[in-house]
Amino acid sequence: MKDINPAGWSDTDARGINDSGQIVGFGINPQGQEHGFILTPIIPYKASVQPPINADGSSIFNASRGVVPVKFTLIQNGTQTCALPPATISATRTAGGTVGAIDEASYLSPADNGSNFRIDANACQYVYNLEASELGVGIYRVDITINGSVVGSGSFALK
Amino acid sequence: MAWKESSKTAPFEKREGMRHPKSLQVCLPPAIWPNDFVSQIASLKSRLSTRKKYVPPLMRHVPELKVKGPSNEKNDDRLARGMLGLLAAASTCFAQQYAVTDLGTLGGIYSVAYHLNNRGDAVGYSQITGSAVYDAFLYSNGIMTDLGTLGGSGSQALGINNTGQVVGLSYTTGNNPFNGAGIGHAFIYSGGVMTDLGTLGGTLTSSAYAINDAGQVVGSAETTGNTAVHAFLYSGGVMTDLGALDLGSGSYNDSVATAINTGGQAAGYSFNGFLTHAFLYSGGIMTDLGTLGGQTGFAFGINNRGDVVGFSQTTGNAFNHAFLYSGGVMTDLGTLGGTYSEGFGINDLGEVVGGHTPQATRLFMPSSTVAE
Repeated sequence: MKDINPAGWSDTDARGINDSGQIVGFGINPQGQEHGFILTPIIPYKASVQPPINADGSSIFNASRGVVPVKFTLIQNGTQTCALPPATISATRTAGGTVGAIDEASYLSPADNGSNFRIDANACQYVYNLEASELGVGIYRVDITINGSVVGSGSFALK
Repeated sequence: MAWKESSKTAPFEKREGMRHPKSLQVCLPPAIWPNDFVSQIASLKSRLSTRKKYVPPLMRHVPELKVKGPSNEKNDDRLARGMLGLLAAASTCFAQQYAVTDLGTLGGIYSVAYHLNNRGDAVGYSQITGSAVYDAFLYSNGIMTDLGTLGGSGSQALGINNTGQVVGLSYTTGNNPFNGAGIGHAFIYSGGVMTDLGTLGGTLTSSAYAINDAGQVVGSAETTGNTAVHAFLYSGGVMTDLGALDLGSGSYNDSVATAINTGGQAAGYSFNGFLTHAFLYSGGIMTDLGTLGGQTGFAFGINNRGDVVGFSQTTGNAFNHAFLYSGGVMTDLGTLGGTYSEGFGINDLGEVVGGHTPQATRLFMPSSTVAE
């Protein structure tokens, strides 16, 4: 159970909910007046990994290849959006070698700005050039984080 | 209060002095209902204070034709209101965030919204410009429209279906909302026209609570001779008396139908002046859903699976708890850190909304707490 009181409202009372999860009710609004309201669920961001990394995790790259382009598209409220908020990458080794989170310095390439994804506005994609040569053989997961929440992941192997 | 106040003839109650609830949402994934939720509720209950404190039963669910604004409320009511907020009880929806839309008003300072359809259209009532009168509204695509009245001053919209038809109650021609002499009738608003549904033969009030996508309307109406108020089903232009439960010795047997689903099943409550029991009307039969152990039980919502929600006094008649009636079983949904809870609406996913009251202090159940 959780309090979902809209910011600034009080004494709210819910009367109905539709099949989309919208809730109708009334309460004291931030201006101190009792008004009706509708609460509409905000569907969180969901990012989908894009080629060359296969969504099913089947991609295998040569570590010696150098850079693995990590690309994500973003979906909100069920549709792909080109309004891409800032996002960061994190990488984890899930098999082979030492398993666990990997320091940014190990995958940073000269084209990158720290762990920040570059936004390709034309392709409506996030792009990060992951430097693979230092990572070594293993299986890796890359996560994309927006507003502190991981909203998508991709997995691949290095050989 | 201008609306008829007799408990015998109308299910309308004063708002003044009534405690108001917090909103409650219960998100129930059908696959894990009820065992998972029951265990969650049991866990939650074990953490709650057992201190007893009398809280007047909430009657705000009962429509009233408001002709006075919030400034007429008693101070203690205002205090109670100030303590309250919006809550969601969640198993699967604990992380859900919402965008809030303030529906505004018809020009006055006050509005109340009671129902919405799957298109997101909402209905309720609002104070109109420069007047103490409240009119039914339809809120659609960001615009609040005054639905007018049946000729008198004041109306309320209580239900809307997925085709945009609205039902409620309105003063009829010639009534004065300021002297308590008003008579209200059930209406249906369709295609821009508000139509009086009449009564079950009585000369006093009727009220329409809900309408399904087939245009079937349920509510309550005065019967011939004004001997009773009975739940009605209005279908194909004909208003049918659904009768009332026989609750044994009482001063009368009245009933109100408050909700109807696509299949024509209706929910409501029946009362005899002493007992009130929730009912499910299905296939021509009104079934007594009983209570959670106390003297009163009310049903206010039904979904297309036939699940019914409402609230009931628990054993000892202490406090109302929200209930879900599903598959022939009435389950106590418990409370959320407070003394009582009430269920009003349920969708086809089994998600329940309603209200509840907090404990005197909320420090034990801060708003950010996810109780599972």
